[in-house]
Formats: sequence, structure tokens, C-alpha cells
Amino acid sequence: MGRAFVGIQPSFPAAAREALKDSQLRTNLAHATGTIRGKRARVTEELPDWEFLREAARGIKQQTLADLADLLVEFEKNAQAAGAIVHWASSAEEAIAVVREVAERHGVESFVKVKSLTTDEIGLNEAMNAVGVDAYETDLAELIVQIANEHPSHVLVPAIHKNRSQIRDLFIEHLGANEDTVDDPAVLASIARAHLRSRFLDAKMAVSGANFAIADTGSLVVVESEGNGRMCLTLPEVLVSIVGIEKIIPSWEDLEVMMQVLPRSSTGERMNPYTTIWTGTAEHDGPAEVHIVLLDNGRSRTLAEPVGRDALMCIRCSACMNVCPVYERTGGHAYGSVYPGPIGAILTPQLLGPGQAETLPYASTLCGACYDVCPVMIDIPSILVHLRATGPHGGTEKAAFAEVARTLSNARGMRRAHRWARFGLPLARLGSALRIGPIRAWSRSRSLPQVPRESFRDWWNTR
Amino acid sequence: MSNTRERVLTAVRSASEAMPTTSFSRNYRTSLEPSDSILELFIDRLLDYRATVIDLRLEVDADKIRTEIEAVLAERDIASVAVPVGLPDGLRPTCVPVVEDRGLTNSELDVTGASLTESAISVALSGTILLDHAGNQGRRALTLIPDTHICLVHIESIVGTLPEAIAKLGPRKVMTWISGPSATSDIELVRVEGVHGPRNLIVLLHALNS
Repeated sequence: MGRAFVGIQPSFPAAAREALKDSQLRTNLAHATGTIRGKRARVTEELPDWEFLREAARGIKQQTLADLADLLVEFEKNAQAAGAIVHWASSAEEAIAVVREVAERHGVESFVKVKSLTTDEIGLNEAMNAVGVDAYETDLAELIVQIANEHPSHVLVPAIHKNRSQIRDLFIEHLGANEDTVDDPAVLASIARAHLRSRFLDAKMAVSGANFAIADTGSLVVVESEGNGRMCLTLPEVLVSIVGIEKIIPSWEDLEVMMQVLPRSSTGERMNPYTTIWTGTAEHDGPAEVHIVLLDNGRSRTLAEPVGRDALMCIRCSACMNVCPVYERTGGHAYGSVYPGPIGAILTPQLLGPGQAETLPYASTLCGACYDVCPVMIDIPSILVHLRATGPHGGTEKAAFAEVARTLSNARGMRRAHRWARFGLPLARLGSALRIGPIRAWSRSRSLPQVPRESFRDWWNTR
Repeated sequence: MSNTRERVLTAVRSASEAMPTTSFSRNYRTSLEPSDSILELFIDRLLDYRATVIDLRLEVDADKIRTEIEAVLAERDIASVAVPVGLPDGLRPTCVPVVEDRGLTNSELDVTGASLTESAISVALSGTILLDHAGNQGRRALTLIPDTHICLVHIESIVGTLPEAIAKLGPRKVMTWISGPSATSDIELVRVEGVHGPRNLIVLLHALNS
């Protein structure tokens, strides 16, 4: 099954309609997003300087985008000086080719993986499987999704759509757990530990992403909770990290901001259990061969969009999906992308380019909750509106809105419209109830307004 | 690949050409209020992560600290300890075999009961211990593979905020930041301590005379 999503998938409205029939999914999501919203709120409210941190985080990422080419060159120079081998990839295929070449040169038949959205984006696991190299996911949730042969449905907790007993069943079926295994998360975690232990200790090669790439030192940063990241980044002889070019931050000092806003926005913890920072290779410590693949894959095209480029500031914390009323009901799969939720609705169509994922900008009520929680203050609602405006529109819709614009821009038109509405709307309502006429497609998920017996203007004129 | 490099850089350069240069201010805190007890805050955060804290904040004597370490080992039935070459002799337990990490294999580390190391600097506000893997902390695998990490934290190495720690430490070749034992929230967002990293983190606070 290909993970390279979108395009072959049903559109969001169709996929959402299917997802909404799954009441177990809705229960799981409501529970999980509700829990994490509470945690996040607690640990952000306790910081008196939270808004200042957000402003600084935004400033850092804006500066990153404005100076990106220079910062990439600076990062490359420093990483190379520290012993890393830096590759560039303009597409998914080019990034995959690097991993394949490294795997073949070292003669490995498998590698261990740290959870990485970027590798999901390029469909790395499937591509490597096709050439006979197994990619073992080691993050608990990624492992669950992998053995279930599904896609991640959330950027932070990819198996958020599954509850504990569903996971227990998967572990019995795929990991050889005992039939009488209880569905206690601690027990399930210990099964994963036992399953992966020898894989870590014996692994020759690992593949990771990165949360940040620090330009002025050439270092990469990976944040995680379980220790699977540390295992993958430390024990193998060869490490390949695939890093989107927007992951750059200008300086070491910037970590003091990003590492305050990311964990609190993401897992709702004051700090994630483990952060690993490495700079090229270190003597007698960690992989002797370190590769970094700087990936474009639609990012430079997105950067050229004056309104939409802010989506590239995203640090993948997932706070926006946890507060989104649409995400909470449809889940991540309906978005048909590794980047679901509000950020996915603006990032996916732009990364994929014109003609792709065009329904995603409509997967929102524009309530603005995502903007309120975003640690880098991406104005997601405005970008959604912009993408809707610049996206494709049918001839009937264009003609209808042109007429509306003409009507609303002068008083006489307005008065005439009021008179007609009193007769027209009841007819339209009847039409939509009987599912006839052009109004039907629009009114399927919207209610037509009630028309007052007397317009404000008429009332004003008679008083 | 060099062609790709030029192509990406050219595309990025032309995409960001018209972007206005931005400036921003760093108005966030760089220290805590003098009235905040940094030590109490640090302990509170560690306990919140379910780390074990041994509070010897007034202890300046290596022998007494070592005795306390030995008590921890006995209590937990830990039969062997791996230490970095730079760990002071006076702190090394005498009650169980102690192996110095001069390139132990993964499987040797895997059968070792605990690692015992010092640390570089700690942040009270988030309960974070920063290792820069200097000689008294050892390489990364040492504090990763054994199931228990006993970490010595000198009370004078604790600062209030992350910006203070970043300013004091500066860039390092490799670093590990530790905030509690290994954990996951991947199943229904229930936090479970102990997955792949050390399942037990024991933090021993001390004031050893150097």
C-alpha cells in the first residue's frame, strides 16, 4: 500500500463523510484531543512570558524564511566541517535515491527509523521495501500504524485513532503477544520494548528526520519521548537524516525559544523526555558515517507564495489539530495527507502544487482556534481563505457571486433583492427539501436563512 | 547532486527575494524571580516526571555521597555499574562490580544494571538535565542502554531557565537533554514511563567540594 497519499485519494468531503460514520473513531478522537488540549492549556498558562515566547518563535522562523538560501549554505558548511555528508534533493525520488545508495553501499537489508513526517511525506518505507530493504518503525505509534498497514492520522500521535484494545489485538496478531494480554498501556509499551530491543542493539543503519537544523553550528536536533530516537541516533554505524529545508533555525541561541514552545504546544509537557543534538560525527560516540539530505519537494515553490509561505514556519507541534472542531470529528485520514488538520489544509495543497488537494482549504469552519494556539503564530484562517479564493471555481459559482457582488454594491439592487427574497427563498427551500434545482449542492450542508416579513429598510422608511 | 544543490538554492533565493527583512524582540524571561527557589522547583519538576530524587543538597563529602549511591544499588538489586572514565574515583561504588566504559559493546552495556554519571547543567523550570558527554558523563550509549541511570547533579549547576543554560553552555558537538525517564503517550495519550530509554532515572543532588 502506497503511503504517498493525495491525488489518488477521495476528496476531503467524501472521505470525511465516510469517517463520520465511524463512531468508535469519534469517541477515540474526542477523548484524545480533549486530554491533550487540557495539558497544553495548563503548561502554557503557567508561563507568564508565553506570548513573548510565541512572538520570538515567530520572529525566528520568519527570519529563517527571509534568509533561507544563505542559512542553508551556512548550515551545509558547518555540518560538513563537523564530518557530515550533505546531500540535496529537490524531490521525493532524489531523497529516496540517497537512502537507497547508502543502504546498498553498506549492504544492509533493513534499517531502524525514528518517527519522521518528512520520510512519510516522501513515501520512504514503501520505496525501500520495493527494492528489498525493510524499514522498521520504532516509535510506538508508528509501529502500531505500520503493523496495522495504515497511515498515520496525527502528526504527534499517529495512532490517535486507535484505542487500547484495538492496539492489544494488533500486538497479539502481529507481535506474537499472548492471547491473554491485557489492554493496559504500560503492558503494551513493554511488549513494544521487548520486540524492538535486539533490533536497536544490532542495527547497522538508521534513518531519521530532524526537528531543527541549526545553521550557525551545523547541528541537527531530534525531540522524542521513548528513547527510540536516542537508540537510532546513537547505536547504528550509519545515520541518514532527511531534513526539509524549512527546518533551519539561524542560531544555537534560538533553541532556547523553540525548545520552550515546541514541547509545551505538542505533548503538553514542560519538556519532552529526550532531546538529542548532534553535529556531524563525534569520535567514539555514535554513528561514524552521518548523512544529511536537505529536501525541497515543493517547499521553494511554497516559499514564493506571499500569503501562503507562512505555512513553512510550522514546527509540527500538532496543537492546531488538537483544537480543530473539524479534525476532532473526521480524524486525520480524511485529509489524505501526512499533514492533516488545519496546518495540513494549508500545507498539503501548496507542497503538492496546483491541481492537488483542492478541497482541503474548505476543511475548516474558519473559527480561528488554530491561530490562537499556534506557537509560531501562523494565521491559518487567512491562508485558508486565500487558498479558497485562488483555487478553482466553477462557472455557475462565479456567475452567481458576480451577480451577488453587483446586487450588494448599490441600494436599488439591494431593495430589489429584498423583495425577491421574500418570494424566492421559500421556493428555494422547497427546492432544496425536494432535492431539485441548482441550489441543492450548496444547501446540502447549509441552512437557508429565514426571511423577515419586513426588511430593515422598509421598517426604517415607515417609522 | 551539485546540480540539484544549485537548483534548490536558486529557487529558494528567487522565492524569498522580495521578502521584507524582519526584526523581532526577545522579551521572554531569561531568569526567574529572586523569590523562586530554583532547587525546589527543579525537584518538583523531576518528581512530576516520576524520576527518583535523592536530595543531598548540603553534602560536600564524596564518601557520604558514595555511601548513598551504594544504598540505592542495594535497594534496587543492581548488580553492576558502568561509569565514564572521567567519574571521580571517590564516587565509584565499592559494593558491586564497576566497569569503566572504554568502548563497551552494546550487549555488554545491555547486561549492566545501571550507569552512573555526572551532568553538565540543569534547568529548574522544565526539570531538564543537559549532558554534553564530557569525560564525567561518557558517550551517549552509556546513559542510554542500561535500564537505570543514576545522574549526579551538583546544586550549583542548576539554573532557572533554558536561556540561562544555553548561554552558559554554548554549542556542543553532541548533547542529550533528559527530562525524566523514558515515556510514551502514544496509547490514548496516557503517559507511561519506561519504553526504550532507561526506565529509571535517579537524580542525586549534591554539593560536592571540587
